[in-house]
Amino acid sequence: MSAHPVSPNDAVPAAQTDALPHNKLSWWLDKALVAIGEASAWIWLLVLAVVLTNVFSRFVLSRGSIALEELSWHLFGAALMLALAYAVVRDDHVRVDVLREKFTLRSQAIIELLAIVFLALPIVVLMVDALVPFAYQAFIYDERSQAPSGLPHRYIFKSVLPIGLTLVALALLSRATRCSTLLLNFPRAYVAPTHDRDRGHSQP
Amino acid sequence: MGLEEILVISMFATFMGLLLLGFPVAWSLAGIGLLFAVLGHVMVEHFDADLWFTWDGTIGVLDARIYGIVANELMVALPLFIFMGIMLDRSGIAERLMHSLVRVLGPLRGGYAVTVVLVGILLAASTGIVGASVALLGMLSIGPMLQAKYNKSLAVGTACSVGTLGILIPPSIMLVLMADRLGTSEASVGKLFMGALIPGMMLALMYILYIVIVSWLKKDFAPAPANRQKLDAKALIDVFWAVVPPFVLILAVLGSIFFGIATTTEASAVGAFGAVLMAALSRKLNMAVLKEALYQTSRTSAFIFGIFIGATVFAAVLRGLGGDDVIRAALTGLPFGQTGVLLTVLFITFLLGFFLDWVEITLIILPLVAPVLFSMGIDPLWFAVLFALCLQTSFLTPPVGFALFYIKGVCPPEVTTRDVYLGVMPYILIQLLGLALVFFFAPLATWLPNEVYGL
Repeated sequence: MSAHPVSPNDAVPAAQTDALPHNKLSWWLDKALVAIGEASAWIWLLVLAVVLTNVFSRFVLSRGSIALEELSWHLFGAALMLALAYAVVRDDHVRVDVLREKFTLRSQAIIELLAIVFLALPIVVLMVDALVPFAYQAFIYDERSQAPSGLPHRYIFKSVLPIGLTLVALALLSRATRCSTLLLNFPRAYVAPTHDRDRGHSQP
Repeated sequence: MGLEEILVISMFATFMGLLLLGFPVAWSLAGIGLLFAVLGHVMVEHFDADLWFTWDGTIGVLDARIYGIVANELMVALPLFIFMGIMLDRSGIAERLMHSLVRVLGPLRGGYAVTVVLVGILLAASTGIVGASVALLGMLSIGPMLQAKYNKSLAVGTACSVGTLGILIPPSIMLVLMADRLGTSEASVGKLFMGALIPGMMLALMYILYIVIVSWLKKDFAPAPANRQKLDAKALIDVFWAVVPPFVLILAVLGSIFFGIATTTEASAVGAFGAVLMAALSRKLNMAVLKEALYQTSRTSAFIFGIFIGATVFAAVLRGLGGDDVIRAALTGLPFGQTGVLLTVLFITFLLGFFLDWVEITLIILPLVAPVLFSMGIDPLWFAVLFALCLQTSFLTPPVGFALFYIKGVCPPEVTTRDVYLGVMPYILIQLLGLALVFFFAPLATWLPNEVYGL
């Protein structure tokens, strides 16, 4: 059964608390990724404001704006892409736990390490590799919206995609090193100084 | 068996294998996609395999496909609905509804359980994800029901089943995602919302009927409290004020979609705004709550779209390996024509629902089978509603239904797994009855949308 990330009042049995040890690299990476993820979550408020403004102008001023509509999904895409890595760090991506629960932490870590290194990381890198020229092309031709009153500079939005997936790659890398720390004690385990951890959920 | 069949079957098998090892669904999908892309590439380039596979046509087009996922105005509604749901949870509406309704219905036999159903319907908007809604209802209601000496199975079964109803009753994020994947105007978000409305309400009604009947037949199942409080006007007024806000909110969101006043995205924004207002009015809105709601929105959206991206890779490679043709041939080769194919698809969906959430099933299975079904002349709208019902039933069904797992997590320790299984049994029968009704009387799903949108 999958572990769901949504937990009203945190009552849903969360994916069992993350038992993987941190190392210096993963600790700092995760900290940075969480910071980016939490900062980008505020974009949802912007999305909400933009859509509401559009609703308002359409009904009250009786003119909808194509630019605003486009802005809403540009912001949505950005918030989403930047949240992907955050969810990796938080281990929110759904797993099927039926067998996993019965494995030792060590075997879980072996599976995780192999699957990240040989499957997940390469495909994410391939995606980034394809998305960088995709964004670059949009930049070269200064691609804009096909609607006359749409937004210009499509490359800005298109650049967010490879950036988001690069963050995902970093998050996967960080997870892989944590598995390796557990299995081989390389890189060496690192316990964060406790006085930094007072703000509970802001830490990886 | 041809090479293509072998590849397609082993692709699904490897995916299931990796999944069972506990690797996240999103990355399993993408990773298996890559693995088989490499395999296909090597076979074509070095072994002259008789495949149409090309690297450029699968992995090479991922850039445009990933762009297509996020550059989609309809999808903006998803995080906004999620945010609306979380805000509704935090606004304390659920507790207020529960307390006020219980004061009115509690004195009746089975009243508490009926209350749970009503609260579940009103909160369906806030309960897009199975785990969340089941846990929420379970926490709110199981304890008090057991205190009122309700039968353990009845208490747990009711909370659990009503929780899964939330994914069906609009506005449901599952239906938004399904409409996007079906990609036909015959099954737009508005139409799916309308189509699911009658079956959803019908199920809720049957739940209530069951509770009423069983509590009359078995006197000790859901006893009325010994010290009945007299019903006063104040209690009724409380109910009124507790019911009105969520009711107006749902009406505003659904109404504006149904009557074509607003797009789905606009309606979701209005709903999200309304939920924030409601939280503010009940003095539950502060910085911490807002922050937590935004973070949670990010995490839930990321988990859905992570699977979306993974499924895109998987589907591209599967198609490249001839998977579409294999599946089409397999489905059209089934006996009993249309009905046989439809029933097979629904049965497979039911089985998959045991260990995959609706997100995965909608994103992987739906785009594969829907075109085949539609080309055989099956009504997209009807199929979509059946599909949704089938998934919902599957989440309830032991031994591995999703909802059961979550309800167990919030149950007091004296409730055993056996109680849970026993408790959901009647509801599963009701679900199957509902499914059969919609199957034999398609207008239950199609009449309302066609009436409003015209044929």
